[in-house]
Amino acid sequence: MIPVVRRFLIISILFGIILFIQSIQVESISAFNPKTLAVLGFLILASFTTGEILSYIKLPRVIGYLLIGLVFGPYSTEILHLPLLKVFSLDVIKDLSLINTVTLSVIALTAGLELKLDQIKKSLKSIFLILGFKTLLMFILVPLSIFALSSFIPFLADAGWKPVLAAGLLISVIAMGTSIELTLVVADEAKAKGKFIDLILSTAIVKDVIVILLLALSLTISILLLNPSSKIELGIFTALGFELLLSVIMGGIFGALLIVYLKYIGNEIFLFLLAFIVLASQLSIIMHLETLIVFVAAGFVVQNYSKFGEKFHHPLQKLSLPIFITFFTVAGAAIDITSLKSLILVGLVIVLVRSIALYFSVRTAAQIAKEDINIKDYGWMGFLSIGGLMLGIAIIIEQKLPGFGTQLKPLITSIVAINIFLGPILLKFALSKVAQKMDKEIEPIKADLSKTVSVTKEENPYSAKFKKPALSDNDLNKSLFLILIKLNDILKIFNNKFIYSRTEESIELVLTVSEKYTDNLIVMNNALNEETFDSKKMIEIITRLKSELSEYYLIICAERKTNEDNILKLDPLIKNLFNSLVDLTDGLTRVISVDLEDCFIYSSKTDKIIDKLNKSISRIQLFVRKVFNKKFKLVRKVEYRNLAKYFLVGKSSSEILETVNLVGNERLTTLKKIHTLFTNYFEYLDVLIEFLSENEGKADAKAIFSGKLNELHSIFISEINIYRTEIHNTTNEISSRLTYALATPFNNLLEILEIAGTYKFNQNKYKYSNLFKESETQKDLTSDAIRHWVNFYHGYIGIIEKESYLYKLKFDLTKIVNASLINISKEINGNLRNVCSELNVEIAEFKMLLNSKNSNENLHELIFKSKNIFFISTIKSYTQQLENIKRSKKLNLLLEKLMSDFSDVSAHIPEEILLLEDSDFEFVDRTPKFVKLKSVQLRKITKVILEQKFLREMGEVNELLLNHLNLTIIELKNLYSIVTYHFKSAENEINSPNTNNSHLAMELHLSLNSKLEFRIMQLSNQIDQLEKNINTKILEKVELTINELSKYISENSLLRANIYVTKESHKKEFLSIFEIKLHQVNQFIRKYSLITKRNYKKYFYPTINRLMIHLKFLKPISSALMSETIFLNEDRIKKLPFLYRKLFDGTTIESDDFFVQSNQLEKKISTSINNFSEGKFSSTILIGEPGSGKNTLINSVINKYLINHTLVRYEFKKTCSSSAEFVIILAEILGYRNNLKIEELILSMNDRNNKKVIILENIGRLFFKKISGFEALKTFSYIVSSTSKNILWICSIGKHPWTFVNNSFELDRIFFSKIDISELHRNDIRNIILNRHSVTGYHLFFKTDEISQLKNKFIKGATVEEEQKKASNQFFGKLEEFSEGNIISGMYYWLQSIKEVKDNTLIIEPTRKIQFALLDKLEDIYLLTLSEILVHETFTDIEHSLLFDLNVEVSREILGYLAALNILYIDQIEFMSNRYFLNKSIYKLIEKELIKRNMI
Amino acid sequence: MESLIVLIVVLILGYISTHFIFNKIQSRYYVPSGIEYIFLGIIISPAFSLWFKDFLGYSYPNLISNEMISQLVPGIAAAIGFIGFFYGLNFNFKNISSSEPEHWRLALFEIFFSFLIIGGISFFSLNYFWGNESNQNDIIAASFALSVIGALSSNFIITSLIKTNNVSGNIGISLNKSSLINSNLNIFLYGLLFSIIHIGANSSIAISAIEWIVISIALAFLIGFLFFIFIGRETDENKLFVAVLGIVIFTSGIAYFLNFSPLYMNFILGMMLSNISKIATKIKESLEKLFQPMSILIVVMAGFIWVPPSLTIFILVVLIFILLRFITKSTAGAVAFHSAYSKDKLSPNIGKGLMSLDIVACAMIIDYVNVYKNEFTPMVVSAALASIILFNIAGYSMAKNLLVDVGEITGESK
Repeated sequence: MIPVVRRFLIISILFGIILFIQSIQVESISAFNPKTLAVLGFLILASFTTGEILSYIKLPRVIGYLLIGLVFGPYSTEILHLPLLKVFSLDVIKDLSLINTVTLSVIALTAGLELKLDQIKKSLKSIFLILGFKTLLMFILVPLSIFALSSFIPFLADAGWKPVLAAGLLISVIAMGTSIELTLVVADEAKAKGKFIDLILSTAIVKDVIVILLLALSLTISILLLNPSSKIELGIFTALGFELLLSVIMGGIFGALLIVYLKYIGNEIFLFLLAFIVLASQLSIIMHLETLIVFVAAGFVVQNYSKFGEKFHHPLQKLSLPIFITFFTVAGAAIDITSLKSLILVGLVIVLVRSIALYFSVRTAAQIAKEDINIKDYGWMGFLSIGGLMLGIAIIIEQKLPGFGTQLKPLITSIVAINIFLGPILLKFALSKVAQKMDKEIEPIKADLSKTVSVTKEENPYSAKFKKPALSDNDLNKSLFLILIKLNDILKIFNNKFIYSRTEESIELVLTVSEKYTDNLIVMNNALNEETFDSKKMIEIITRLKSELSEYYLIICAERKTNEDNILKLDPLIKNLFNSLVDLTDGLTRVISVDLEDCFIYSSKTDKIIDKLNKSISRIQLFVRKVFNKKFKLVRKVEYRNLAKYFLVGKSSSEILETVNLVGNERLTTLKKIHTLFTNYFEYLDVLIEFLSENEGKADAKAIFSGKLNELHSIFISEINIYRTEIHNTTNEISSRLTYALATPFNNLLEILEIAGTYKFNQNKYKYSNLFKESETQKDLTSDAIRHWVNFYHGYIGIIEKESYLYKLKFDLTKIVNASLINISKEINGNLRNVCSELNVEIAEFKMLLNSKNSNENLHELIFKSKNIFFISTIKSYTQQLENIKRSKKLNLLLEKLMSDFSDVSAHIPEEILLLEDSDFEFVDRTPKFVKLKSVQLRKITKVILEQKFLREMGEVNELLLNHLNLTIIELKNLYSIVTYHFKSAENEINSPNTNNSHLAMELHLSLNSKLEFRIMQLSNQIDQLEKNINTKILEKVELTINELSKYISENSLLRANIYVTKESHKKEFLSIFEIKLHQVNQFIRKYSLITKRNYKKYFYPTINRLMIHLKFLKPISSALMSETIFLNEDRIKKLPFLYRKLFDGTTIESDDFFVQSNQLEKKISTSINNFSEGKFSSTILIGEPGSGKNTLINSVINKYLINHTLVRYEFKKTCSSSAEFVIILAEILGYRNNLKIEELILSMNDRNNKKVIILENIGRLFFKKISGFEALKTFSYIVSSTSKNILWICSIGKHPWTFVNNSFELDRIFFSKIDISELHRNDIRNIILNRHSVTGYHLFFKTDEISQLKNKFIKGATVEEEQKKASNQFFGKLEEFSEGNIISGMYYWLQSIKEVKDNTLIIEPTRKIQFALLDKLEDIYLLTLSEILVHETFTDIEHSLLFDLNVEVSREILGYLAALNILYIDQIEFMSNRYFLNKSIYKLIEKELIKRNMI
Repeated sequence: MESLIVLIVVLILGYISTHFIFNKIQSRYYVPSGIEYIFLGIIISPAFSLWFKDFLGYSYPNLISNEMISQLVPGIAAAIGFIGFFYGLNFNFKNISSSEPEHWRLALFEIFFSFLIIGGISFFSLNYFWGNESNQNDIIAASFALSVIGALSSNFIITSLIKTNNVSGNIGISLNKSSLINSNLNIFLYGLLFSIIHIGANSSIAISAIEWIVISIALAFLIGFLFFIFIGRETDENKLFVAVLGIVIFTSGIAYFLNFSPLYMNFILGMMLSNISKIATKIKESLEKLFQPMSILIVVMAGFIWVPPSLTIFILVVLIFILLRFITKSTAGAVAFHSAYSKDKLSPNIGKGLMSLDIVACAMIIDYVNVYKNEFTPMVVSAALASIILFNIAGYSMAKNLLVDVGEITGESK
């Protein structure tokens, strides 16, 4: 009730609003009634609401729409006498006329889409019968009733028979109508489907064409009847026919357009349909076509000549609802009640007559056409409704028969009005009745069906048993028994040799996997049972298990690859099977005689004439032969062998193929299951890890974990059990399928032989030749199938293999980064944590002491003593440790180490794996088709991703770590300064005569404590944060890398992996070309602007400047500022990626990957080693300036030549000029006591049983240019010369130190071999640089010089590749020339030449020689300092002051200035004391400048 | 009827081209789609054809007549109603209440300065040059409309910019929030104009401007309530569609009949539903597909109804309006920044980021032309259309430049 009240309330509010707005606003006059839009909204809402109300009382909604139209329409006053209700004026109805056309088009299109050709074909007979009877009865009964009622019809009351007949004929045409729109609306509402509604709709559509023709005919007759002088115009029929034909053609074209849209665009169907309907209906009107026919034809074409019919259903339904509402409401409003009031009763009688006519016509037609009972009983109700279309016909009649037509129109309107209301109600009633009946009929069928289904479910369609031969002929039975026995033997062999063994294999495979998991579970349980439960440890265990598992799977994959080829054994087995069958049948009797049975001799009623004739001949034959031989029987010669071959060889082949495919599929399914187990188990382990990470440190973590473990284990075990059962079931299925494959042909053979004596047996049908070709094809297919299955197994194993490698890789990567980055991070942070905790302890102790010391003296003592006890030593020692870490190879060679580890990882991955994609396994009916295995270049892809992408990302993390380390060192030094400052100030205070000094000193210390506490707290926070950041970042990056790798492998294309590096899609390529061109234009402009500027500066500027100064506009410049810095493009270098800077920062390379080998070197080193082995002089000196690759060369020599030798290596970092110090160092590194005398040392070293290789690096630091500064060098010289036969000395020294000491001490006499490194590399710089560069993955683009560019503008140049090659050669030629064999200098030039980084490409500018004019501006002391530093390679500020006899402060100033200019760089090898080195990058430049000045 | 066919063909072609070409281009590089339809509307309009003939002495076939335009107007009103309803559905109090005071301040300053500068200057200049006793209401209406269009900012364009560039900084948020508040407030303010200067009231009943305002709001709320009980918890897509269609047509029809703004009334309706109906999201979904074609229709129509004033007036009006709008927005932004408590949420140049105009401005123009047909209409339409074209193109890049300058667009997301 409430919903009904609610809906009435809605209508009331709507109406109220309309009334209200009418009262406050004046309607403006325009072409379009301003109220129309509001009324349209009103009618949609009100009609929809009324429709809903009516649906509650089971009436069609459309009645509600019509009622709203009637109640609020222009004619409602006539019945209700309430002018207020007149919401729709005639103007509004006229404005909404566009809706009518659109609605008719929608209806027609929907109707057309409902017309399915196959259904129409079925109902064609019924349609035409219904229409035939309907036309006949209507044109008899309706005119008769008009005759009978003529006295009640005003304009016919006194008329003669002719007008009455004319009226009768025309009303008959109206009575023929059945509204398609009402039928559709009601059917849609009732959701009716099926033959009943289809028949009504199809008939209604066909009827429209007939109505048009009948109207034309009736009109012609009526004109003749009403005006006898007029003539028949046949042209009207021709025009009509043409119009109909054109409508159908246009409809077809529109339909085709709809199909094209759906096929090629297919989006936004709703909107397109709306636009299409409006457009097409307007075009139809313009072309004077029958809109209804046009759209029906369009819908028909779409439904029957494309697959898109269904696609229109939903949008049309969405569109039709509002349109139908509007259409029927307007139709209701348009019913002219005034005119039909007087004729309503007549109308009712005619409607009754029409109903009777319909009832009989439909019933008779249905009976003749043997239609369904429903159509017979209720079909007439469906044809009753007449729609608005008939009102249109009334208008045509009015136009064609002026006067008479106008008088007839009210009668037509009254008939339409009654039918429009009555029709839908009866149609809905009929539909509900039909639906009820259908339900009743369907229920028992459903029940039967469910029974059938349940029965068939239990039956296995492929279970068959061999039938026992029980024929009348004993010989034949014997033969058949023999066949049966042999077939059973074949089956047994096949089952035992193949099917069961394969099953066992599959089960074993699953069991092996489950065993592995059980082992894992035991490992986890053991760890769980330990006394202390450590989540981290458990995570480590699970991670290790994961790695082991992936390796285990790789082993399984390798095994399976070999084992799966076993299915190839099936091939000979199958061939044997076929051969056995052929042999079996070959040995059979060719022909057997079978007695003919009675049916072959005596005719029956069903026999055809020819059969009867045959049987008569047989009878005559039998009769005649029996005269001579009473026992004579008619027999038939049956080709037994052929028949057996037909079934056993021919028919069985397809069955055997099916069996083979089943066998093949079984293993694939097992592999898939193994794969699922694999992924599921990894997921379980991940769940466990996740759980452990989330619950780390929680008290109940162990208990929950244990529960979780058991839960996951039980899930897993149940999975395995299910798989095992499935494998068993599949095996049984295969076995029974094979039995079926042989039993069915055998049983068929028996069945045929049983009827061989009957008339049913047709020997020709069972000729083996009929099947031979097919059978051979099946045999071939069987062989192919076996090979294809192998292919599929390999492909699938490839998938498992790929995933296993990915898992393994993930583990390896995590391990590598854990061992390197995370370890370093831990070491750094460990040190920091220690320093923090130690300092905290010291602060506490210090506080305590401070509190206990009250007197001035005590305090004085405490301050002076505690200075060295507390803080300083701790800070100093940890700073030193951190400095050591910073300088350690572990950190400095981290990237190199990572790179080498990644190379190792990549190297352990197979070159390629062969696999198939998931989509390849989607085959129909278990039949495999050959798909080529896809080769994935696993190693290459991994290498590319790891060494180029992942390494770069690790570089970023490394940078983060380095920055952190630098910052913490600075922080510790700050702490040091704070402590020393406070202590010093406190000392000063204590020493001062001030009375408050102790108080102030105390305050200072308290302040120190609080500052230290605060800083330490900050530092601790930073440590935790950084640790977390680094760990998370690394794990994320590993995960991302693995995902990326998986993606590229899945896409099965190395090219794709390279795309990551090149990142060049077509779009980018285009953009880059555009950018290059733009760049060239810019360069051109810049070039000429520079030329102009240069010329201006050169020629005009000085003159103009002088003039300006002369005119006193400008002041002369007093002095030039010196602002030049060494790194001309330091900003540019900073922009380079960290990895790049790191590779070219001049750090020694541990591995010899980048080292370019040389024959000369090999020869010299080999000779030294040989001499050493033979006890000859062998000492070797490597001479090279900084940056020439001394250390790298030594590394290379060690890795390549000295692996099997006992090796001692030491690098002199500090100056060591005293003999004693040198001896101690040497004794220490050799493992002797450090108080050995020189002679003792020499004696020990000459022990022939303990021959060693001693590598001493930087022996140039064994002297200091001052009196008694060469003692260490002399001792060294002595020791080397005394031990050179038993010790292989390999020493390195700088070029200038060597020149200096050699000239003074003739050191070349003690070295057997001398290697000048610069000479080795003079022509290798290019390779060294490119070797390093290649690992970064960047592309290079060499810009050509301006002259080449200019040349290219006029002369068509070479291709881009050729041009690049040329530019590269030019570039490196210059680079090698400028760097003169110095690698670091070469690198410096190289970095200076990188103009910018664009995506993944480095833009390289042509090399230009760098002029180092800065030295011109330096004073002599600076130049002398540089020349001495060249000789000594390094010195501290103190050493400088000694060397030049200067104050230390002055020395610091000089050296600091040079450091500020980047000529020197500082390293703090000793705590708080600076050691200065020459900037290796510009070494060559300085050397040249100093040579020019004769300073070296 | 032929004109209708032409219009439909134009719309179909326009829709398809937008769907297949502009959508793709727009998703990558922002190319303001819609402008081309304004030009299309202008070219096929009878007024332009006449102007072209007068100006160049060359005539081309007039595709659509004035009569056709007037027949289409109710349909366009319904389309505007759809847009208003859609915007209203986006106006959720929960979302709006999450805005900071700075966002409100910025939006309100924009409106305030627009009324002060654009409204003031246009009122005084129109009054000075053309004013007489009988056309005071027309001048007020024109000034009011120009003020609102001047103050309006496109939230659609800013949202699109933010999405494309993955902006998440304070200024981006401020632009987004304040433009949303701004557009909603302006739709509301604009609706009030039609009540303040109401046309076509029944002379037998004297209704004041305030009463008209109350009527317009009350009607919208009543229809909202009606719709609320009408739709209940309906979930059937087809029925929902009919209900939304009916209610929007009904509301637009009432607005059209009463000479109110369909944009405004439907906006209130949508706003009400958005905040009280549980199926507001479903309603929005059922309307989403209609948004684009309706927008195209409105933009074409906006160009279509343009009646050019004389060339001199056209140039003057357009230049002055664009200049004043630029000044207004910049000033409002600067003042909002200087008066802000949280300065990090705004920037002194934030006004430049709020220059863009979109479909709402087109809808406002059509609403204006439907109701106010007087000597100032061509000036208002010309100024508004020209600024839509200019600011639709430039507004995006200005906002982008602003966000680049404040460092919220770094190019990393591209």
